[in-house]
Formats: sequence, C-alpha cells, structure tokens
Amino acid sequence: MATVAFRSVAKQFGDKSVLKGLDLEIADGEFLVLLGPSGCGKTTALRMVAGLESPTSGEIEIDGVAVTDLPPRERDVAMVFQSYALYPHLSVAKNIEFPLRQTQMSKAERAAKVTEAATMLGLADLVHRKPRELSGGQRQRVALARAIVRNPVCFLMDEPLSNLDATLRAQTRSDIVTLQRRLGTTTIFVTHDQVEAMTMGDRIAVMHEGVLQQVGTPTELFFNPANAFVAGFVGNPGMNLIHAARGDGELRVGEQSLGAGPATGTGPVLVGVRAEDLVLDPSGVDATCTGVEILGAEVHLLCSIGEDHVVVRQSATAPRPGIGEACGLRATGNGVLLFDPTSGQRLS
Amino acid sequence: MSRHLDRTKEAGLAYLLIAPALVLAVVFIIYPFMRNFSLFLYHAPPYPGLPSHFAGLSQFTTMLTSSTFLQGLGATLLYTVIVVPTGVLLGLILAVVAHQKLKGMAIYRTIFATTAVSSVAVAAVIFGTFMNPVLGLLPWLGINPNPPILQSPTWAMLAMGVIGLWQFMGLSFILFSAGLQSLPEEVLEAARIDGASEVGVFWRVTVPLLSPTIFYAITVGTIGAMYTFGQMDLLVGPYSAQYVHVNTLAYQIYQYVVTEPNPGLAACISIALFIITAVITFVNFRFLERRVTYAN
Ligand SMILES: Nc1ncnc2c1ncn2[C@@H]1O[C@H](COP(=O)(O)OP(=O)(O)O)[C@@H](O)[C@H]1O
Ligand SMILES: [Mg+2]
Repeated sequence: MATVAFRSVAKQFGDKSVLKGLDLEIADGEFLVLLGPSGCGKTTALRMVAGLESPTSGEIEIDGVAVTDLPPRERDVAMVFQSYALYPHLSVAKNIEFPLRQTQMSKAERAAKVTEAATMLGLADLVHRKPRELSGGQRQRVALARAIVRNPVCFLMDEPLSNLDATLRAQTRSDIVTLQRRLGTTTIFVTHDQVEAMTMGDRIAVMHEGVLQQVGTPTELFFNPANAFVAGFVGNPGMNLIHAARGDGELRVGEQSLGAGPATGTGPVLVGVRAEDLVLDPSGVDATCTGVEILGAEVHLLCSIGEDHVVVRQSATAPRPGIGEACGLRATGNGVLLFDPTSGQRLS
Repeated sequence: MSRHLDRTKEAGLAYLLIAPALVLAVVFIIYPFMRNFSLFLYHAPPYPGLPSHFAGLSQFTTMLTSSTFLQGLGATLLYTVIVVPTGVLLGLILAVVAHQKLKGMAIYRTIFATTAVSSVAVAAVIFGTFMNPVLGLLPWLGINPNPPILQSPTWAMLAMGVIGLWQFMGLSFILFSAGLQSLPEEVLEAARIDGASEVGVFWRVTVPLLSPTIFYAITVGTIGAMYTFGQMDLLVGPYSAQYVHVNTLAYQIYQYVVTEPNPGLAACISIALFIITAVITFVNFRFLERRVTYAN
C-alpha cells in the first residue's frame, strides 16, 4: 500500500503535448478516478505510473520516492488493461500465477494464493480454461485476479469495464469497489464514463486536453464544478450551459428573462443550470423542442435556445411540447452557476 | 435463355482467365509429376528410341540399399540439421533485436532481409571468395585447413550449411519480424509490469506467442533444406573427388539427369525425397501443432 504522486508531469509525443504539467496526489488506500473524454491523456498518465512510458519532464513518486527511472518490474504496481492483456497461451490459473512466478515464493504458496484470488473473483471452476474459452466478463475477472494476487502497492485500471455489456458493467462496478475496500489497495481507475466515476471514486480527477481541471469528491464536482468543462461533463446529463447576460439582478437571453441572477455585475456570462432546474414557462426565454427521450418515470426534453442545446428533465406525466414546437424555458432553484464565457472559469 | 447464354459466357471468360496459370501448372508441375512416376516404374533404354520395359519397384528397392543413396540421405539430413534449427534461432534473435525502436534499425532490417532474396549463385560467389584457399578471407585470417575447406570431408558440408544458413536466416528473419509486429503489445507490457525481466518476457511470452511462426519457419526451412543442391554444384561440383560428402539427394537427382543420365534412378530418388519430405512435414504438423498456441 502506498501513496502515488504526479509532480509537474508533462508528456510529449513528438511535438504533440499530451500532458501539460500534471500535479496530483493519491492518498494511501484511496480509490481515485481519472475522468476525461477520449484522447485527453488518461491512459498516458496511467502508463507513466506503470513505467511503460517515461515523462518528458516531472517525476512520478510512489510512497514519496521518485520511481520515474525504474522499469515496470521494479515498481510493484499491477495494471488491468482495457483489452485485459491476458496471456493467451496460459490457462486461467497460470495467468493468475504469472506475477508470482517472478518472486521467490514456493510452489505450494503460489498455488494457495492463486486459489484464493480465483475464489475471490468467482473463477474457481474456470482455472483450467484458456482465455479464449472465456466470456468477456470472465476475462475481465481473470485480469483482476492477476492484479490482486501479489498484493501490489497500487492498482492501475484502464477502462476495465468498457468492453462489458451494460448489466455486467453495473454489477462489476460495485464488485470492484467492494474488492478495493476489502483490500485497501491504492487504486487509480481511468474512465471516460462519468457514471462510473461518480459511483466508484473516493475522489475524481477530471482531465481535459492534457490539463487537470478539478480534483474532488463526486459531490464536490457535481455541486461545485470549478469550470464550465467540469460542469458540462459531470452528471447525467451534464449541466446545461447557456450564453446569457447579467443585469439588474436578472439573467437575460436577448430581451427575455432566463431567471433571477446576482445583484451585481453586468456583461456576458455562461449560465450553468441542471436539467432538473430548467422548467417550461411561457414567460421564460424562447426555445424550440428538438427531441424527447422517454426514460420511464421521467423524460428528457431536448431543446435549443439560440445556439445552445439544453436538456430539461421533467416528469413523464407533465405536459410537454411536441418535437419542433416552440416553448419557453426558465431557470429555477439555487443551483444556477455562472461561468466566464471565454475562460470557462467559475464566477459565482 | 439469354440468362443461360450470359452464364455460359461468364464461364468461358473464367476459363480464359485461368488458362495461363493452368497451362503453366500442367506443363511444369502436373506433367513432370506424372512423368516422374512412369520413369520410376520403367527402365529407361540405354539409347533413345528403344522401347523401355516395365521394372515395377525394382529400381526403387535397388536404390534403397545402394550406398550412394544412403550416403546422400545422411548428407541431406546433416545439412538440414545444420541449417534449420540454427536459422530459426538466429532469425528469431535478429528479429527481436531489430524490433527495438531504435534509430537506423530500418537499415539493419533491410540488410538482414536481403539474404532471403539473394540467389544461391550470389551466395556461392560470396562464400566461395571467403573460402578460396589462395585469395580468400579465411586463409588471410589464418584459417586454411589442408585439404581446403571445400574438399575436406569434415568442413565441406559445414561450409554448405553456412551458406544455406545465411540464406535461410533472411527468410526466418522476415517471418519473425512479421510475427513480432502482430504480437499484442499490451500482453508483453503486462508481463513487464508483472515483474518479468526482458529475458523472461522473451522466453515466457514472446516465444510461446510466436510459436505458430516458429512452427511455420521450421516446416518451410526443412522443406527448403531437403531440396538444396545449388551451392554444392557451384562450389564443389560433381567431379571433385570429395564430392560425396556434400552429395545431397537433390544433387543426386540433378546428376542422374544431367551428368550421368539415369532417369529411372533420378525418378526413384525424387520420389524418395518426396516421401521423406511429406513424412517430416506431417510429423512437424502433428508434433509441433499440438504445442502451438494460436493467439486469438
Ligand atoms: N505512443 C504514442 N505516440 C503518439 N501519440 C500518442 C501515443 N500515445 C498516445 N498518444 C496521443 O496522446 C493523446 C492522449 O492519449 P491517451 O492517453 O491514450 O488518451 P485517453 O486514454 O485519455 O483516451 C491522444 O491524442 C493520442 O493520440
Ligand atoms: Mg485510454
């Protein structure tokens, strides 16, 4: 068990800057989720902890010791790849045993550990199979078993759920969290799926285009996003972002009132409002309904306000406009946040 | 009706298109193959134009007990043993070295691969120059056995093997380079993270994952080696007193056709060689394929 830290880590591939000075500390035993859209540098960051890539500048520390120059085998971390990367020529048991073969452990000891890990992940009946004879979910569990078997200082998981179907993914999410709690091993979990991040992480680090946007608990990120990117990315759906202007204690789109605004300040602003805080109101701003998603008890109305696309969450039984029809929208509640329209930074 | 015509036309076109390949196959493969069997069963007359008479298997059984044949068989197997395992191993090692993402590797890759496309004549000239007892590089380095390498019962076959190895290594290198390109990189990375050293990764992951390629290289190399005679002919030649040491079966066939014509015997040897190759290939398949892991 250990702490992991990125100290001003930058990575360039050729002249393409993939990570731009990442500073991040992961506490001992913490489950940290690295969240961000595809291509933002999450995998690269994870691979640098594993030692598969070396930073262009900066240091990686494990337990306060710089490991930047150590090869992967001397770092004592375990990684679960998106592709699982099982050894196709080895049985499940041999796959799980592989990391132990590199240690001084006796054969009997190894066998006991393999059995323990296989049992923990419900693989006891499959130990003689080859990876190609397993389903996706079973392969994923073999990859997890191989990671936990040698009790590493840190788990690195790169989108391990992305190849599973929806039901299995939900199940596995909680299985992984339970397993991590039980073992107490520091974990960095990479995903582009904010639902995974919100449900699994002790803390979430949101990245965008190689830059860390915000680190915080799921609740902090949801209610207190540091900038418009985090606001729009976190939550399901993400926060609506509407171009508006402040003045006279009101937020306006053109001449129309979107809702109450701060008493002070004027000029353009990006208004962040959650789908549940937008309501249909004929006296609000002009909008057009462009689609309806019926989720069951609730529906998502997809609307456009000028150039901005927004989602309105309401009860399935409430009256709603038809697709293509005009409607009025208004922001209610205390959840309205203001962002700088150029920098995206939080204003209020 | 017109539809029927269309289909006939289409079929006609199809035959037209395969005709060149078919003609080549008949002239150079199928006819010689059949003709070989008739030569095998009939005594050729001493002069052309006389009738040949049926001999059954007698030519073949005579050949089987002849010392020339047994010696040729030994030479062929010795040559194969020299060339194939070493060629596979060296090709693999070179491919792994060249697989490193280092500057200038493309040049090495090209150099290693070139030997595969050099003709045996080129190889013979190069190595002949090396080994020339008067002007050669080896004598210049002080290696000049008596009798000269190419006439020595001990060294001649080894020299043939080195030439064959030089050529086969290029092919083996190309095969393994392609094999390495297609290995799942993440599996190798997983092994490194799991604590394996580079040597450990090589033996415990790379080699098993390459086993289909290894198997293929062994089979192709063995078949190629069984039919080698080019460097024997070019560097030693049929009239050298010592030629028996390098008189492989394929070379014997050549000689019984060209230098001392005996078509029946040539046909018998070629059929023997065919059977031996088929058996070795079959054994290779049965024995190795069971151990081969085809990654999915
Ligand atoms: N080995 C590499 N060479 C060049 N570019 C790379 C390499 N690995 C990743 N990249 C680039 O770096 C960026 C970030 O990649 P990655 O870390 O895989 O993103 P993520 O995992 O967040 O989707 C991408 O634009 C990708 O194309
Ligand atoms: Mg990735």
